[in-house]
Amino acid sequence: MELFCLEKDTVVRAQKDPNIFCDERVLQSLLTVEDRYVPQGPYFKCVQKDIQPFMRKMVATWMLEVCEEEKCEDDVFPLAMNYLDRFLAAVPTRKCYLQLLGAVCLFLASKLKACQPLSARKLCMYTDNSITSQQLLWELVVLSKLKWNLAAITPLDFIEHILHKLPFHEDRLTLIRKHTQTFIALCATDHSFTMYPPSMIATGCVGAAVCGLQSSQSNQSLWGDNLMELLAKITNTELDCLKSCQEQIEQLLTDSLKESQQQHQQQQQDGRASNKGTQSQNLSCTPTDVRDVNL
Amino acid sequence: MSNVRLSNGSPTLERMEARLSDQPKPSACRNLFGPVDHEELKKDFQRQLRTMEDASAEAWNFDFSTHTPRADGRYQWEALDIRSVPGFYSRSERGKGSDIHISSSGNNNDNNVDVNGNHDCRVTEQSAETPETLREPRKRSSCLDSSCQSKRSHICVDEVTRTPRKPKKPRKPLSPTPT
Repeated sequence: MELFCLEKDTVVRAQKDPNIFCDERVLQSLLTVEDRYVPQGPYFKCVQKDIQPFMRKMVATWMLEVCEEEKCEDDVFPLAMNYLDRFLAAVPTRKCYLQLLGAVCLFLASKLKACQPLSARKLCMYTDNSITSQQLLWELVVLSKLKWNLAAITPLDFIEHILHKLPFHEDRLTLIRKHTQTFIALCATDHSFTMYPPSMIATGCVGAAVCGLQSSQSNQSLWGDNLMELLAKITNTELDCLKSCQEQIEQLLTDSLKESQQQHQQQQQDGRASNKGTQSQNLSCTPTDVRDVNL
Repeated sequence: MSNVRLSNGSPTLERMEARLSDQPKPSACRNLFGPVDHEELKKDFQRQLRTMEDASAEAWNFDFSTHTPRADGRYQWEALDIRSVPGFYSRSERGKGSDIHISSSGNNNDNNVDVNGNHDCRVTEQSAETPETLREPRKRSSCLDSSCQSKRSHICVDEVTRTPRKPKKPRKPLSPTPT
């Protein structure tokens, strides 16, 4: 007799509540409140002396990798980046503390959003044990500086409201949603989007996703200016700002694709070089390879 | 004869350990900005906590470190009789004595972090005066056992006190006598 465990590791999500997504007041409330959670002022010029934009990108990329490795919910990473930006906009921070700050922000965001929060031990492991779990108590400082306002509005909060108003089939919307989430994560890694309202980023990402998918297909029912006008109307965004934002997102995507291709080529070259070394190591040191002996 | 390859024979423990340690770490495991000065970080943290405490004391006109009201400010504090406030304000915490350190089963030395990575926020460095016996993990007395309360059918207000008592035997509810 065999015992089977039928429990699955997949996260069970609540179904979409029509009372939320069909009610215009919810979207209006989000639009009203969203500005409270946007960092005030460009902090690289005013607040931070030791931290440069490329360092933020390094931390953000690392945080995204941790989230992917741990299969965190989609909300965790953008929320953690929101905490990071709001903290950096308020508190001058040393370069050597930046990874600790990133880990703390992930820790807090996962406690708020994830079904299974990231453990302190794992986060320390991901920093290559350069910090201890004791030092994650910096979360108290972060909480204090953020005035305990943790339920921040992120671009992901707007996706369903926008997609609900687009005239596409459900299977198509699933694909658009997936691409949009990827674009939002990408925007969170780039410092030039920190000052943008979440609704604008969400709208721009949806626009970029729809355009990207429709350019590869013949059916172009909603395209170009028609799409932009509809999206601008949904989130009360100025059309010019939205166009500019979408172009920026598309440019960011192009740059990141180039970057990843270069890295991939570099890895392949490194792999070829190391293969030559390992081939000689792989040869058996006995006349008849022990691995080939059959009993 | 069976067609078994020698190399696939079950390895000894030593070989097994070596193989496990050779497994690559996740690609995300990396230190981004070099070594952290732990002492400096600790000082910074203490300084930040002090700043937070001072801000709280200023806001509430109350010194939270000594649990005493401040002289003048917006709020006037007055002591209340312990019987006039709900029980949880006076009840002692269960199994959270600051001197009891329960060691985790793993190799992690941070004893005040539980399995889920949650902290016991009362981080106190053990002083030299702490007896050696208290540092070791020890069995809890029966009064700290969480099952103790549930075994008792009735709990009077005066039974829940700071001083631990021996658990009473569960009282049987009085059954109605047939007439």
